[in-house]
Amino acid sequence: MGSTVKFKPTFVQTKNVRSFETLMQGLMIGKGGAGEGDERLGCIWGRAGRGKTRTVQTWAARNGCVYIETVSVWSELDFLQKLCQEFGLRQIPGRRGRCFDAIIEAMTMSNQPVFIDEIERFGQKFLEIIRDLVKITGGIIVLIGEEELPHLMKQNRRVWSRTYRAMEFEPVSPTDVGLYVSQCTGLHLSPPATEIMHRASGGDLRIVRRDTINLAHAATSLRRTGEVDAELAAIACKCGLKGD
Amino acid sequence: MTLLSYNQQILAKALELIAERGEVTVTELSHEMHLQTYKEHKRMLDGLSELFKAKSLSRLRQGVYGRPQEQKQEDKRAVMWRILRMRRRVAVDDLVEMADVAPDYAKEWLRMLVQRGVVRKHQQPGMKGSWQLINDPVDMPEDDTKANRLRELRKKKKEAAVSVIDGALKQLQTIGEALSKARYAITTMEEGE
Repeated sequence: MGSTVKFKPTFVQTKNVRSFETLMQGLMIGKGGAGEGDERLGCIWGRAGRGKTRTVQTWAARNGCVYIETVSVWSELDFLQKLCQEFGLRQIPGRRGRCFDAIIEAMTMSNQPVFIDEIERFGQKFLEIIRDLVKITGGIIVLIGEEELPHLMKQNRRVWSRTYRAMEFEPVSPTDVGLYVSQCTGLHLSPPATEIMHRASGGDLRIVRRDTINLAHAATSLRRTGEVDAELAAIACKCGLKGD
Repeated sequence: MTLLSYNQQILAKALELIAERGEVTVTELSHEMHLQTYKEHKRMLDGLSELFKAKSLSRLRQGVYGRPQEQKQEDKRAVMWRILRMRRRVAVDDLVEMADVAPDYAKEWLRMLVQRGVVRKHQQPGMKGSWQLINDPVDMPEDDTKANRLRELRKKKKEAAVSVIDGALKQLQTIGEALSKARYAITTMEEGE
């Protein structure tokens, strides 16, 4: 009788995660030191489903950083007040100027990067505020968004010149798929099975996750052990929708 | 002949110099290792870069290295709390994956937050549950689960001790009654009986 294959949620170090960590190391080096440059902005972009937000949130939570996900109805004051709240200010000012001053003080005291997600929905409106914060404090701000974000930042010369690097979250690779399945279930994919799961995902990490859960169920119910073959991978991928 | 790898040699020399001076520059290290050519210097820089990535050394400034930073174990509850605040709605799997905690630990922590009125549990029949942040106090609520457990334990110990004493008192009472009866019998005994 075959043993039960369980899906264990694991934060897998995919290629994108490793590139993100390299970006963060590069941004952090020289903070407050002699080699400090003016490039204190980072840009993380890519299509939905590639694991940007999850990677950033995990990194920010483990390192005690400020993370903000913007809301479409926000005004400039709402945005600044949210930043004040996340910096742990007890009394949040009711005016933009005072909020800005309070954030400057908090950012000057803190060495940790600030992450702002889905900033592109506000166009240039908030980019100028972010540029001012970076310019005055020398702090690190990393912006996260979809394909429009780097274009938006490039349009603003003063913002782009302060950007250390724009990193694209690329589609997950076949190696990432194999690594993900192996770390979350302990199963090993054969090359044809990897190819099937990779093609079915369309580079989307959410679909890889869903198919991996299906694969664990299929392996348990069919009492399969050892290397996953193409047939089993096809069964797992047919259980759900396909990526494009 | 040395048995150390090249990176280990760099690390040993760097740590020796850091112990003396507090920090070491790449030029000082190159000089101390008697490197003559640019190729050797470049090899040393690559080695330093690898040691930095492996967190065997810390990079204080550009070209200046120091003691490796101590890896402090981030409080798992603080990590879970940040994740909850970031996502507003979490499942146990999210906390297991992102905060690297055991599922039972995450469930227990979420249960404590439900009791505090910080989160609300949503669960459809046959589906996995999710927890929504409904009241954000910004600062992490203190986890008094352990304190409650200790309080319960102390209460149980106290009750057990009181019951032992009560038992002993009852026995003493029985003995006292028996002794009283014996005393009465002796005092009421007639002379010569």
